[in-house]
Amino acid sequence: MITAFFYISMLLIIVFIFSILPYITRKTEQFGVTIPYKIYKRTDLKQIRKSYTFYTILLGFIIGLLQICLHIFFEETVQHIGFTINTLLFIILSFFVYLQFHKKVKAIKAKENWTVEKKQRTVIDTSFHHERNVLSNWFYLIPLVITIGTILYTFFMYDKMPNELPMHTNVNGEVRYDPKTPFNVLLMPGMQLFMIGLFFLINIIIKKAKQQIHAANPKVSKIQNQLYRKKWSRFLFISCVLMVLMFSFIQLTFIHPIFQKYETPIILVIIAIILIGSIVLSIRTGQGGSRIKIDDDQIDDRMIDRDEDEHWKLGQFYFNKNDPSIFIEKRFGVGWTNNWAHPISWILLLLIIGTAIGIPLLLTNL
Amino acid sequence: MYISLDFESEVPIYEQLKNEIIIGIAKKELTPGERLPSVRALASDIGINLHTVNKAYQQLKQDGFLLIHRQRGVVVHPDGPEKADEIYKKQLHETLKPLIAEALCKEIDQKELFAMMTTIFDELGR
Repeated sequence: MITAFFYISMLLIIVFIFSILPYITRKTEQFGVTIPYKIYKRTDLKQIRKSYTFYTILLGFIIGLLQICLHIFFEETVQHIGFTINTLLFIILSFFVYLQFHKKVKAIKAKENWTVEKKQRTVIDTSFHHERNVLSNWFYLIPLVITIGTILYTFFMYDKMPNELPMHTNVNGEVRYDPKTPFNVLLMPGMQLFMIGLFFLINIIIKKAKQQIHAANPKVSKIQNQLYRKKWSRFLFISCVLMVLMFSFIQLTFIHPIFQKYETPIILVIIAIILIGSIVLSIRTGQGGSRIKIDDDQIDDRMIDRDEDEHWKLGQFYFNKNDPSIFIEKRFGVGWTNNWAHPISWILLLLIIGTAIGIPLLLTNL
Repeated sequence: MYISLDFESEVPIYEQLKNEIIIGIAKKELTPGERLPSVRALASDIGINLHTVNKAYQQLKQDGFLLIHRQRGVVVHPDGPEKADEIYKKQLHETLKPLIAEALCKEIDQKELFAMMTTIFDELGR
């Protein structure tokens, strides 16, 4: 029952996030197509956003039913694999839903001359990156100290630890035991170090990511963009500390099995805080801070941003050989993506995937 | 300071970049000693080749508007460019002459030209 509840609520959350994407993206970018401010409020675009949300929820509903069937008719292992497959299926299929609307907006844009009588401009502020836009990297010493403390405590208690460790746990609380070794007791600290490294990297990405301010209202969009970076940098730091604390607690249950009964609730609460927090923050900031209310929001309607649609394949994948930036705001949704024409983007991606798979593999097999 | 670039213009981007920075200094929106973005940061914010930014920065450095330090990065020259000497004045004279001549041919008279100069001085905050 808990498994069903957990997986279905996870699916619900994912479906919810995908269904609101057009509303939290920048108003000048709809379904991966650059449009002027005014067009956003037009009835045909309103309608397009509504139908996207409708079809995404419909798709989510079908996938949700599939998942429910798994819980009624099949056994545990099928449910676990089924959830992963269903989630992937939803993400892939919802991309095709997106694609239909991307084509629609693109067609409307091709038909109508929005750029006539408007000046395309790229505007940047020379002091943007010199101002404090993110939390200082030094803050990440805090989770690092927690991890080091966990490692020290583990080796201090190593002899007193049970000889068999519950290395594999599923959400139902069913456990598979492995004999302890000096390496596999480091699995949780290894995950902690990976998380810290990843979030540290994201903090640097948020700091360095391309400055994107609007030609129509440079001052306001700059403040929005800086607030957006600050808020996300802070939120991700808190998430990192929570996850590190979560892994420390799991480690504690290895050392003192008496704490095991608290494990599942603590994991669920921390995951819930992070998920709900990120949804709330996405809705409040919007992409690039575009939903943050700033007084004196004057829009110069004669100006529009430089049209870069040609570099955005399918409206979502940025390939621009002439652009030296590696990290850039997503066009659909909240967050950042890579310039896939830059080799470092691919190296980073492989490095992150490699470490994520490598650490558990290495520590549990040594 | 905000830099605004027009990619549809016939004026090359490095030239526009140079002009924007000189205007910024003239308007005192860029103060002596103020830091400017590194070549890489500026190029990635604008989304252009590193060479384009480098070219603009190098020329501005040569004209005495900027200093490029190895550690401190790019800064507005604390003393500003050299004050105009006879050679510069002569050069400026030669640059303006054909421009004014062209305007005269298009029947813009002295009064209109002077009015235009006043507007430009206003725009530059002088």
